[in-house]
Amino acid sequence: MQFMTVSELMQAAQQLAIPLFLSFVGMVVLMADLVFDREDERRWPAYLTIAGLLGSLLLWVQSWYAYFPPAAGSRAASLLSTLRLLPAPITPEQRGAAFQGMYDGFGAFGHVPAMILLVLLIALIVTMLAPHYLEGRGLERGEYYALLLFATAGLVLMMGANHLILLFLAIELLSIPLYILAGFARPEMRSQEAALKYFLLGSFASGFLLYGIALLYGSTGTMLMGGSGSLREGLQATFEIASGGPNLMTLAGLTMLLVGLGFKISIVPFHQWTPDVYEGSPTPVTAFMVAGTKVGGFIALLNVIVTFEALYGFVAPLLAILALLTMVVGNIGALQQTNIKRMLAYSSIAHAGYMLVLLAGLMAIQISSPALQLYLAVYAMMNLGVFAVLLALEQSAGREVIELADFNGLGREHPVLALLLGFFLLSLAGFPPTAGFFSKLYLFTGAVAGGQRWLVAVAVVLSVLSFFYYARFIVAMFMQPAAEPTESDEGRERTAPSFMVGAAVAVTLLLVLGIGLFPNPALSLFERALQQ
Amino acid sequence: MLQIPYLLSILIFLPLVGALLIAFAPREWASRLALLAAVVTFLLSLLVVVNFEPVATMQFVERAPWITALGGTFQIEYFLGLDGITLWLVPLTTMLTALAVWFSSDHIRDREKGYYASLLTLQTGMLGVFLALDLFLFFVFWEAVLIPMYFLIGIWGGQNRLYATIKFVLFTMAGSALMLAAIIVLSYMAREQNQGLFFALDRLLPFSATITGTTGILLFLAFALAFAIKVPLFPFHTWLPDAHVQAPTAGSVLLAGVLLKMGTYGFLRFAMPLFPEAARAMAPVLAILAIIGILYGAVVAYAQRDIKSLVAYSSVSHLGFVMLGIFAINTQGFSGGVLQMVNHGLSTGALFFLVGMIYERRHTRDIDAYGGLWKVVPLYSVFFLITMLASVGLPGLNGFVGEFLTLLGAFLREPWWAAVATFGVVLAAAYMLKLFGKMMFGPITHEENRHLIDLTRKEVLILAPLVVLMILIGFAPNLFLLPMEPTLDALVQTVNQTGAVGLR
Repeated sequence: MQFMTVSELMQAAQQLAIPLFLSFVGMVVLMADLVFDREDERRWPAYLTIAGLLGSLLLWVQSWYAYFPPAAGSRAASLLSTLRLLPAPITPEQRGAAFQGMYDGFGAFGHVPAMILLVLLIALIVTMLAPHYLEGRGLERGEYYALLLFATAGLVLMMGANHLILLFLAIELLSIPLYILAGFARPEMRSQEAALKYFLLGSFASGFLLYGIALLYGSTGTMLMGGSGSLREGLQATFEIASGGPNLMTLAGLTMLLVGLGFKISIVPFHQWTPDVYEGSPTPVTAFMVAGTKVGGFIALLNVIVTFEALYGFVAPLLAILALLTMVVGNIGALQQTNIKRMLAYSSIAHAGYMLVLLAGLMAIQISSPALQLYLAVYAMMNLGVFAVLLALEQSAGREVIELADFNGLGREHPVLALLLGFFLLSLAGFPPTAGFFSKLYLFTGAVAGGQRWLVAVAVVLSVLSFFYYARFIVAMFMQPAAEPTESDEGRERTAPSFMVGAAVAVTLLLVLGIGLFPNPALSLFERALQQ
Repeated sequence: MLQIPYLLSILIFLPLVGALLIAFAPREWASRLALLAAVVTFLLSLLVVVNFEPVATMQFVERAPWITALGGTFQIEYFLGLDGITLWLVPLTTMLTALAVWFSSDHIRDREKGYYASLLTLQTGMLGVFLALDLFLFFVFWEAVLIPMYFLIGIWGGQNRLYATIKFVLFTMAGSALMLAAIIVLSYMAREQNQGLFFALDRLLPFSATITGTTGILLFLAFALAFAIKVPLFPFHTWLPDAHVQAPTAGSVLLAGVLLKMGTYGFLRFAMPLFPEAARAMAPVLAILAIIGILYGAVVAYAQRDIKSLVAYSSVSHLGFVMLGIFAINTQGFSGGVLQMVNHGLSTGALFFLVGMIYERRHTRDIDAYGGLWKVVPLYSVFFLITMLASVGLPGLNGFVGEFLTLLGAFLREPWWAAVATFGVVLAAAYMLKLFGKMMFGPITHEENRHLIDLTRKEVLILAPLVVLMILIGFAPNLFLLPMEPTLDALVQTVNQTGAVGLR
C-alpha cells in the first residue's frame, strides 16, 4: 500500500472537490436541522442546500477551467484571474491520478465535467421543488435535503469512477439515500411500498454488480477501468496476443455488471420496479430518480462499455437486443397508463431504449458522446419541467394532479400552466421546434452513423406512437370539460405557485426552449473535449 | 418596387409575433390583433409578387448557419428562398389566413386568445414549409403545422373532434417520421461528397440525383408517403373527411386551401428533384393512384349528405388532378398542377366559407335540410353558383384552365390517363350540380329556411376577393402562368435526367 504525498492529496482534493463539498454540505444540513426547529425556520435546511449547490456550481466552474484552461487573454481568463479564481490546470497525466487512479473526473471522452454540471442542476431544481410539497404533507424534515445531497455526491462519483469498487460504492451512495427518500412520505402506504420494492430489488441488483466485479477481478486481476494497468488495457493486450475468444469468467462478470447497471437505469427486463416506485415516491423524489439516476447510470454504463471496448463485439449485440426490448416495452407500457407518474416511468424506459440504440452503435465516438450527453441533458430538463409544472398545478388547483381525470379542464382554469405542461409533453414526444426533437434527431443521426439503421427505424416509428400517450394528457387539459365541482372543492386552498417552483419551471422552460431553437451553445459544451 | 431586407423571415415570423402579442394582450383585443397581423402579413406578401423576377433562380434568398456541431461537419442551415413554385402559394396562404381570421371574429366566442394564437402560429408554420430550403428546417415547419391544427380541430371543432384530431395528427406523423428517417439517411449517405452531415437542399441535390436503383426508390417512397398522406392521395385520404367535417370553418378553409398543398408542394420541391430516377419510375403508380382518387373522390362525394364532407371528398378528387399533372412530368402538367393548387385553394376555400356561413345561420350541414334558398338568399346563391362553377371547371373560370392543363399534360405523357381522368370532370359536375340544385332550387321544404338572412356586407367582402381571383385567373391565366414557367421548365429538365443539376 502506497501512501499519498501531500501534493498528490491536494491534486486529488482538487479533482474531488465537488463530491467532497456536497457531502460536507449534507452533513451541515443534518446538523442545522437540529438547530432550526422553530416553525418560521423550517425552510432553512432547503435554503442551506440551495446555497450549497450554488457553491458547488462555482466549484464546477473552477474545475471546468482546470480541465479546459481558457485561452490566455480571453474574457474568461481575465475575469477569473482578477477574481483570483483561475485554477491550476489539470494535465492529462494528472487526470486519472486521484486516489491511485480510482477517480477520473474527466472521462474517456472528456464527457464527465459537463455531466457533473447537469447533475448539479438537476439536484438544484429538485431541491427547489421540495419545500412546498413536503410542507403540504407535513413531511418537512431536514434529512430530506441531506439525503438528496448525499445522493448527488454519489451521482458525481459514479460518473467519475475509474475503479469498479468506487463505482459500486458510488452506486450505493446514490441508492441508499434514495431508498429512504422513496419512503419519505412515511404514513402513506404507497410510499412505503415503493421504498421496500426499490430496496429489495436494488439490493438484488447490487449483489449482481458486486458478484460481477468479483468475477472480473478473478479473471483479470485488476479493477481499474481505464489508464495504465487497467481492465481496458489488459483486455486489449490479451486480444492482441492470444486471438482466442475472451474467457467465460470475464464475459460472465461483464454480463452481471451490465445487469446491475441495467437495473439502475431501468432497462427491460430489469424494469419492473420502475412504475411502482415512481408512482409511490414523493413527487420531487420521483423527479430526481427520473432525471438524476438516469444521467448517472447512463454515463456509468458508457464508461463501462468503453472499459470493455475490446469485447465490444460481444457487448454490442447484447445492447441492441436490450435496446429493442426496452423501446418496445416502454412505449407499449406507457400507452395504457392513466397516472402521469406511471406514464412518465414507462416513458423514461422508452427513452432509455433510444439511448441504448446509440450505445449499441458506439463506434462512431465522435458523434456518440455529445449525442448521448445532449440527449441526457434534454431528457432530464423535459422531465423536470413536467414535474415542476405538476407541482405548480397542484398549488394553483389546490389538489393533487396525478390521475388523467384530474387534468380535465385545466386548460381553461390554468391556461398558462396547462400550456407549459403541454409544451414539455410535446417535447418528450419529440415535436419540433422543442429540444426534445433536436436531441432525438442528433441521437438518431449518431446511431445511424454507428450502423444501427434498423433499430433507428424502429425507434422512429415508436416515437410516433409515443405521441398517443403524451397527447392524452393534453387532450384532457384542453379538450375535455372540467369535472363538476364537488363539496370538498369548496374548502380547497388555492395559492399561486411558490417562487421556488416557479423558478424551477422557468429554468427548465428556458433550457428546453433554448436548446430547441439554438442548440449551438449546448453542443459546444458537450463537444468541447473532442476538439482538444 | 419597395425592397425589404429579410422579407421572407418577416413574412414567416410576423404572425408568430402576433400570436405572442395576443397571448399577453387582453381577451377583447385578440381578434383585432390577429386581423392586424394577418393583414400586414398579406400586404407584405404582395411585395413578393411585385418584386418577383420571372426567372428560374431562387429569389429573396436568406442563408445562415443555424445549428453547427462536430466542428462544422454537421450543419443545419437557416435557408429560405422563393421561386415560381411558391410564388402564388405564399400570397394564397396569407390571403386565406387573413380572411379566415376575419371570418372567425363573428363566430368564435370560446377561448379566443388561444384560437387566434393558434391560427397565426399555423400561418407561420405554413409559410415556413413553403419557404424553407434546408430539409431539416423544412421538417421543423412541417411538424410545427400539426400542433396548432391539432388544437384548432380538437378544441374548437365539432361533435367528433377528438377522434378527428388524433387521426389527423397520427396519419401525418406516421408519414413524416419516415421522411425524417430518410432525411437523416440521405444526409449520411452524402457525407463523403459533402465532407460532413449537411441538410441544405442544394448541398444534397448533386449527390442525391445520382442515387439509382432500390436505394433511390426507397428514399423516394419515404418522402412520397409523407407527402401523399398530406395531399391526400388515394388510399391515404381517410383522415381528410373526418378532419374537414370536425374542424371549425377557418380550420377547414386553411386545411383545404393550404395544408393539402404542402403535400403536392413537397413532391415538386423535394421528392422529385432529389430522386429523379425514382420519381420517373414511380410516376405511373402515383399517376394511377391519382386517377383512382379523382374518380373515387367524385363518386363518394356524390353520395354524401353532409355538405362539408361532400366538399371534403371533392378535395380528394381535385387534388388527384394536381397529382396527375405533377406526375405527367412535363411543363403543361406542372403548370396545370401548380395552378390547380392555387385554384383549389380559392374555390374550396370559398366553398368552406360558404358552408360555414350557412351553418352559422341554420346549424346544420345536412343537404336535405335546405332547398329553395335561391329565393330567400339570392346573393348567397350567386356566390355559391360562381364558386361551384369554378370548382367544376367551367370555361372562363379558373378551374377550367388548371384542369385543362393537367389533362393536357397527362395526355402528352400517356393518353389513356387523360381519357380516364376526364370522367372526373363529368362526375364533378354531377355532384356539384346535385348539391347546388338540392340546396338552391325547388320549393322551400323547411320553414326555418324562409327567414334566413342574406350575406352581410362583411361576408360579401370575405368572398369577393376569392371570386374576383377565380374570374381573373379564368380570363387571364397567363398573368399567373408566365412567371412560374421558367422555374417549372427547369424543374422538368431536372426530373427528366439522372445526374446532378443542382439548385439554381
